[in-house]
Amino acid sequence: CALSPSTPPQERPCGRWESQIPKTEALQRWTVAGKVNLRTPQQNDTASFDWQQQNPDHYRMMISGPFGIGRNTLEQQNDQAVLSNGNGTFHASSPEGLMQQQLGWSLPISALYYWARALPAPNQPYHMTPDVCGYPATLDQQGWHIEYSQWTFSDGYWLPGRLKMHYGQLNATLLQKEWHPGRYDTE
Amino acid sequence: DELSAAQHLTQRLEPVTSYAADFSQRIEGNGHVSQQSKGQMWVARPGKFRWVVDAPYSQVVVSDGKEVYLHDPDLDQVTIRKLDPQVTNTPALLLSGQASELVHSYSVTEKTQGSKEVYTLKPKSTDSLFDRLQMTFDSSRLSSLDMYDASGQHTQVAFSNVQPNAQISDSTFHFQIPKGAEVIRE
Repeated sequence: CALSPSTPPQERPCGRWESQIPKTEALQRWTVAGKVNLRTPQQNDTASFDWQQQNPDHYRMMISGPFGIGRNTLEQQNDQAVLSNGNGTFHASSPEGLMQQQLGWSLPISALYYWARALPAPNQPYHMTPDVCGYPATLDQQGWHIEYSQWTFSDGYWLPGRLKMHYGQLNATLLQKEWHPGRYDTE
Repeated sequence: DELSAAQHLTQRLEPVTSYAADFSQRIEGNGHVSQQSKGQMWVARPGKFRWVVDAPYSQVVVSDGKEVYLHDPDLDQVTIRKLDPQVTNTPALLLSGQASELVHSYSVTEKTQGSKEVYTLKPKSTDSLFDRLQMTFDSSRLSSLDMYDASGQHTQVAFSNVQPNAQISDSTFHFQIPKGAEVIRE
């Protein structure tokens, strides 16, 4: 079942996704390090990110360019979003608005809490298609089309390493390179 | 002694025309470590460097003194930019700049702790990315760079097996664009 570029050396066991869903849904705390690339007809931005999810209502995401230049740290606790960078600290109720204002781009952070685990956001219509191995291949929700690939196995979870996300003319590639389910701080 | 901190720092930097070193970088903000990365660095004056960051942030940044090539192997993408002041706030270019330029654009103070000399540089221009930069020399060899930005984030770059005035072949500062990589000129 190695059709999609799966994870060396471990082959993805087919049919495992279905049985892993309860555990994946129950996961509320993780750190993931990776890269995000944003492409629109006018812009092409690449950044590294470190995402630390403490619980469903509290995360910290650090987004930085090369050398850690232009570092932005987005933190949300309950309904207060705060973004801090070299220019200062900014508050708002929605993280997306803050990102758009400070970074010039944004991704649906609240939905990514689910999408990053290849789960649909709850109580909203969605459409998913499985790959030959029964793992999510695509997810359509909130106008976004997401393609999952490069599944990686980390601390007992199979999780998607690459999300190709399309929304109108925006194409985003989210690479989740290093997953630590269950761990909050990078220490 | 009567030499100013700036002159002292120039004395430390001026004789070193190139560096090779390993680095580990740690970014902390309000009490949390938010990113740790490591890699290797080669630097040569003026304006040349190669900065290789290991996975998971894998990235190669190469400057030939005129243009900066940023290769992201995960995205298979190479971005090419003119060497610009914005980049000068990076560890690599600070070390490959002329000491006289550095001292011209930053106010320098010095304090010594045993074998360590810590130079604190405050940018004179307001559009700098950070508020304060500290260069630490241990028994006159560069050991770390600390950068503090307005939001209180602290980036610490610690150097190990530093080779000042290392013999570095010029090909180190030329970037070979991998076949099939997407090239973006900015």
